[in-house]
Amino acid sequence: MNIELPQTRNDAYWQLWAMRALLVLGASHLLAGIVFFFAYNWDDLSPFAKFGLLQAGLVISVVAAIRLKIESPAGQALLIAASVFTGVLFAVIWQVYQTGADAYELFTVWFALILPWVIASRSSVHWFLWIVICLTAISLYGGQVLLPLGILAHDQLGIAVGIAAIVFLAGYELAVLAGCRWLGDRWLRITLALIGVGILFMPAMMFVFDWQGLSQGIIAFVVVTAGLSFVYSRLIPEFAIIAITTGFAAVVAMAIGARGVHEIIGFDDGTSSLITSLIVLVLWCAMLTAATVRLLNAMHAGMTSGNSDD
Amino acid sequence: MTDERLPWYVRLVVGVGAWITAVVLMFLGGAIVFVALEFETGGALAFIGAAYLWVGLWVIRRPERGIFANQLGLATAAAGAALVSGGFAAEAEEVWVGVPIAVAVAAAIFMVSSNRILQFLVSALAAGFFVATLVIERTPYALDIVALATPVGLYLMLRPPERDIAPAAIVLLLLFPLYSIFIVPDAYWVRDIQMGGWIARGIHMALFLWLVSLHWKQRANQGLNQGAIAFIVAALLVCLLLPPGGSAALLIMTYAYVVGSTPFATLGVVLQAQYLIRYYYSLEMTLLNKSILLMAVGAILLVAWWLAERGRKQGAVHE
Repeated sequence: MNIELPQTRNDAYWQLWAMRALLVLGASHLLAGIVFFFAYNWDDLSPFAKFGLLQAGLVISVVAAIRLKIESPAGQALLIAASVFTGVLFAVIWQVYQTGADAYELFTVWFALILPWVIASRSSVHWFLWIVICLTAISLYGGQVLLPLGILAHDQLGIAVGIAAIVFLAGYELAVLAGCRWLGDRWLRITLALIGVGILFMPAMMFVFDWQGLSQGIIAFVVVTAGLSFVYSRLIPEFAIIAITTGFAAVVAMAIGARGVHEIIGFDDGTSSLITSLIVLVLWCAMLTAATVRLLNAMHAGMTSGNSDD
Repeated sequence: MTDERLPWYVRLVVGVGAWITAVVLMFLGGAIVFVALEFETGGALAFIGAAYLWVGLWVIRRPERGIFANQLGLATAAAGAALVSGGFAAEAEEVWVGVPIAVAVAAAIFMVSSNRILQFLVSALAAGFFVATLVIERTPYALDIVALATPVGLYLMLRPPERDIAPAAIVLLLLFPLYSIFIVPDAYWVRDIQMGGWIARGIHMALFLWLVSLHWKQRANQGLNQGAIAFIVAALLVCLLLPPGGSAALLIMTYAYVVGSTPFATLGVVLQAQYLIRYYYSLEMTLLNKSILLMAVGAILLVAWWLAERGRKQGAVHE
């Protein structure tokens, strides 16, 4: 067997990769083994031992982060670990003392307490974790308090959480404009836009497929996608967000088409109406997708000067 | 149109639109055959599948096509291949019948189309029918049977034949890790029969040694030092200790390292992480035994890392 390995491989890079992979694999298996061990014995541990273990992990993470310098990658990773330990500690307090507190209170205390570490770490990953905890707290508060009290309907809660994600995106942009260059990772901007539009997509679809739903769902979706498209095409050029908003809008338009065909021709009024409806729907979907390609092509050409940054 | 210059996420957005369109198109075909013409047999399914396959291939093979037409053709042809194989299997009322049909359709597509995504999809379809047959028939030693795909895939990746069949090789290479990590742990029936695993372990160890020997033969300047030997011993021990799913993911990472492939490196890491998460819920041994096993594997890997790092530093000092 005459097998030739590729000679274009960057040997230095792959040597480094192999060493890091070996270290990470070893550490992750060892840690997983430790986690499995405690999971096995968890019920037999006293509350004191449980708290002691988690608090020891928390203290060690914070002390090690300070010793390794908080702004170094290792220090940032340790502070993120400390934030996670804090959440787990609260979950165990909640479990051991059966406080009767709702889950949203746990998440609220969690995001409030870790905020100083998030600010100190100057890490976009840490900020992302914090935002996810905030959004979870908002969602739980809505689900456990506002929905039962009848203050919000189900789709309104989805709209509120989606808009909260967009508010965080606005905060991110303002912080970057104010000079927080360390926060300027594109992935955070794109991810927040994806989360916000993705959450707003659900109430919009609920409205399209169920006229009984609230029209705020479709209104919020249209306003947010139009706003994001304007901002990220004219003020802060970011083609990835244009692609996200256009893609979601195209799918909502397809759903509107399906609903319209169902109302006007009908899918269940006999064979001929079924086939006519499907033909119209195929043409509608094909036209929308072709229009999406043309629009994105034109916008991409307008926003880049020949070099794709992706 | 300058579609090919667009970033990958735009192709994804357009692909979603094209696939939705293709799904509606398939409903249309199904409505014509099953509702309008009232053919309700597996043969009719295979017939409509063949029509889709032909239309899809015709669209893909057109020289002037944009992303939308390409994705639409891809979805239509892939669905056609699935309908043809599924139709024959439904007609025979036996899942295994779908395996040779799917393999034949895949072979035909490799002959007439160079579209790598379609080649990958039809290869995955054939593999899917094969795995479904093993699951439905409750085949004993299924782990060892599926592991036989790995050396074939690896060989085809390292020594590609004249006709490019890389997508099929990738499917063969990934079949065992995906099967052992995602399907076997969730199958309740595996508790009643012998699933095997030792032959799979043996295959992984042999393939690992083969990859390492290739690497050191062709990149002799790196030398077989103390660290490297420690690494080989550790990897063999890990293959022996870990359930086959874990060692399969390690094998993918070793392949990535040997050929310098970032996508396979990422895939190996993701598979290993998935393996660790799903291993928690597997019922093959108690949590305590699993914890001891994982700690032992972790300790072996860390010792190997320390020895390899020491060997590397000593090498640097000698130079």
